[in-house]
Amino acid sequence: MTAETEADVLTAETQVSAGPVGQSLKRREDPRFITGEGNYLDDIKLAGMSHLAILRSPYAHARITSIDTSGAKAMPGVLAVIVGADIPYNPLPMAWPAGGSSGVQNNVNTPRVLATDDVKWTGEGVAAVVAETPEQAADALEAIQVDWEPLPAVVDAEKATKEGAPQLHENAPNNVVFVWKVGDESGTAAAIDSAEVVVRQRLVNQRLIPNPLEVRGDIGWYNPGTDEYTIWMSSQTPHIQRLLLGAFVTGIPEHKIRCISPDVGGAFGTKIFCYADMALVMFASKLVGGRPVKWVETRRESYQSTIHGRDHISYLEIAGSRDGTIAGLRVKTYANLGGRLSTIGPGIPTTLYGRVLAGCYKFPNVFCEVTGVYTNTTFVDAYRGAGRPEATYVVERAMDLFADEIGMDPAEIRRRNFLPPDSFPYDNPSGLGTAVNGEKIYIDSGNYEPALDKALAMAGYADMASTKAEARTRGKLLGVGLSSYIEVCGVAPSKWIGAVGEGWGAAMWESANIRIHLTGKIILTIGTQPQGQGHETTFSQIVAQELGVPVEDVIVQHSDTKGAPFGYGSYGSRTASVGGSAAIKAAGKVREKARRYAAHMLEASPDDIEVDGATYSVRGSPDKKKTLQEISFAIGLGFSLPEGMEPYLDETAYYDTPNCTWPFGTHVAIVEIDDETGVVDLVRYIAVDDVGNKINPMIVDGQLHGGIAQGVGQALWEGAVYDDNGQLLSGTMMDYALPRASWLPMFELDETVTPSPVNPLGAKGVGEAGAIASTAAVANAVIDALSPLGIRHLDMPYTAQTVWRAMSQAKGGQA
Amino acid sequence: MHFEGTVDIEAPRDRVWAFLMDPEQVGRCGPGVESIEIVDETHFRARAKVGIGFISARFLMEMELAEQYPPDRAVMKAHGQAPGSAVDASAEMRLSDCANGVTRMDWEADVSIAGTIASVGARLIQGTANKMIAKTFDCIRAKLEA
Repeated sequence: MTAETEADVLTAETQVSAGPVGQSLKRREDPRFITGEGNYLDDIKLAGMSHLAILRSPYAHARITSIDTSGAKAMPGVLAVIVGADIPYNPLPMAWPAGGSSGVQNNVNTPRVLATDDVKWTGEGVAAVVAETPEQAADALEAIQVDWEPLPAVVDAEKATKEGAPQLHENAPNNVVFVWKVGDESGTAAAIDSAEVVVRQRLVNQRLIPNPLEVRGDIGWYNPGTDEYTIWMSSQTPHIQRLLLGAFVTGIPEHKIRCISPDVGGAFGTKIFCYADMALVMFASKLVGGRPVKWVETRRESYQSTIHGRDHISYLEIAGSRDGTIAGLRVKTYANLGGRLSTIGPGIPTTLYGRVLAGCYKFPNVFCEVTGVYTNTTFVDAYRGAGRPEATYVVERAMDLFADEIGMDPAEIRRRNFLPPDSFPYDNPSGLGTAVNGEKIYIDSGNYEPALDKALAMAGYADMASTKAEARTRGKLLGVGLSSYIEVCGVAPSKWIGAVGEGWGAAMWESANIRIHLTGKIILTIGTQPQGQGHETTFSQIVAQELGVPVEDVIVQHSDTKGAPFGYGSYGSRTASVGGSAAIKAAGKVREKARRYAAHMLEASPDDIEVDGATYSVRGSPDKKKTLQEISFAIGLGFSLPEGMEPYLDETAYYDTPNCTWPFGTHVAIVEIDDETGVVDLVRYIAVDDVGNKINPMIVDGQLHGGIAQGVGQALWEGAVYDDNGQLLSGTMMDYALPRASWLPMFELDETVTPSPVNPLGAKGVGEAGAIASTAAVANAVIDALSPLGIRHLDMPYTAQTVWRAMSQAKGGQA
Repeated sequence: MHFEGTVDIEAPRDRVWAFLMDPEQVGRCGPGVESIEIVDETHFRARAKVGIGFISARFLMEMELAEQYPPDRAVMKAHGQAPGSAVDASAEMRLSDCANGVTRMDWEADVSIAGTIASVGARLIQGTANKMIAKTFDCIRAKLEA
């Protein structure tokens, strides 16, 4: 093997070779997780730890006239009572304006650590108590007297923009955060105006409440001896939080802050963001003289003060000809962003939505206008899929509506409009490839028809007429729904973000450090942050594969800004493609140094050293060899080093991908609707996904299962409901219908494999794919089932009440 | 939430009016009322324990007799707070004479509930409120008709 350059490493084969990568190894995390030995935030108990509770607004919109904390201060065990005016910190940052640096006006209002003058949603924090026990803190909250002046509230994003609606912020007339446009406005208008067929529909993509098993929490500790802060947080992004909390919120220098994210029990996006409570525990710990301060949200708090997802109202127009060729798609969307903006709230319904609205189709004209809106509701930000489920829902409903209008089979219209496999790299017309200073991203790869064909075959699509007829005999309306999706993930590259100012407005590379200790055991430290995905298993597989060692010889460390290289964290299905590639790059550096040291040990030229797994031998003299363990021992001791070589195998790599990755596939949902009651039963679910090469197929399947269940949940059961005064009526798990295992069929999964050409793994990411595809598949199935009654569209969730009412109306009866 | 109804009471209108305008008397008919404090002629304060489903909260209610047109019509406004919850209400009642010495009361009320009780007890509020209203009127009738 010749000397490896960085270019060699980064253009490694995208086909999976024999070795640990590609094996369904059991997750090494699971023994601790399933036996109660995990170390989640609330498991951490520190000496002298005190507890914080937050008083939250009962009103959705109100002025705070006065706050009397004297009663609370006198309560047993109370160490401090804090109000907003006590805290000298800045409001929280907003890191992803709509349009990035393109000049789109963003009217930004973000939360303060505690509200000072007014509240904009039920659940906004207004005061806090630090006490010896959590119970004492909660009791003392009840003794805080707040005088409120309630104000009129608005919760619907479309209504909030109309004349006469209650106004939330002075700098945001008509509650508009931004108006963002993408695509060719005049070209799309011309295509629609001249089209043979135009179909129009209003769609509501309802608000969802994320439900990770572990709620959020933080522990803040100010060390008076060093003047440094440590914050334990249930977070997907500890490195970013250190940056944001330091440079943007508190002004405390970044190197005086350490963030630690212990085991995280699910997140789905909710734990990406910078929350007020993180800064609050920092402030509180210093206030009480350096005692650690713990805050853990209750589930009800989580429902009101951790982010929500989705919440779009869209008007779509899809135009084309009777032969099924689509000429244009125009979408106007009101995106509800809540009472104040979350960390990257505006980025979700813009870049991650409008720019992928064309899906996997060859639409010549696409135009999308998104109005971001303030309402008196909990802030909205990235929730599993983040923008892409909303886009997939629009385009996949649009395809079915158009097919229905012209009497074409939904599979056929998709096939007819797919981007052909020779289109890639593809610069899509909804502006994804928007070039600024010549930098752009493009759809890297795709081959959509085989996935569709496979899914149709698995579903028995050709025989669907007889399947439907059979169901009719049992009093069931059977429907089949397709969703051919693509998603953009592994968001990158940094130079594109730098040019267009999107993402975090900061780079999006990833990092990995490999140290091989004297005994040959390997520690990989990564900048990404697991939340239950099994990174400790999959990254070990990658490193073991690259260095030819047993998987057991590698452990993976993460989650602590002290010791781990800076990383942007895990979200957007980016960890395998970006973080995994960083690990490959670090392994390449280690291998190169080991090869040079092997040459020194074997008295050969580095160019003559061949590497086979963990064995480094002299070309032509296979007996002259050293193992990686022998090399790491010798170079670790450093008794004999070649001129200029440093001891130890310790290499850090930063990897910036040249482009995003684009998983795709086709999902098929089959539902039966009870003709009498309207109860929808999902009877089969088929998913054919192309996520590129897989590191651990079992983990990939697990991600798909969870994602599909979440997407089905939106279609059939879930929905956050506010009353007109902004009270969250679905405020508990008794009122918010999460999917249950017994409500779901066993999913039938298969794959096609089109490796991504933009990273050495050929992996694309899978964390969100299931949730992105499944909502639209189920929605299309329900509408297909109801179409014999003349029903063309219904808004989700398809509860029995909604479906029964629509059926009754369609049959001309009472509703 | 809007509530309205009609109650017939077998008592003369001036007695009904006097009873309803006396916080000490009518207040005792409110379910869960623990104490009543007269602030002045048109303001009083009540402490009441309200249970909705598995939640119960002790509300401190500030009440105001906002308008009085004896013995025909009165408007009352109320603002109450409990830990994590708040309630704001406005109620109007009109009295008229019916045959046989019966006084008819037509009433309506607009109530908005905020906070924990709204979000946790949403599904139960309407039913609970109807029950509490019915209890209140049963009590008023019983006392006036006794």
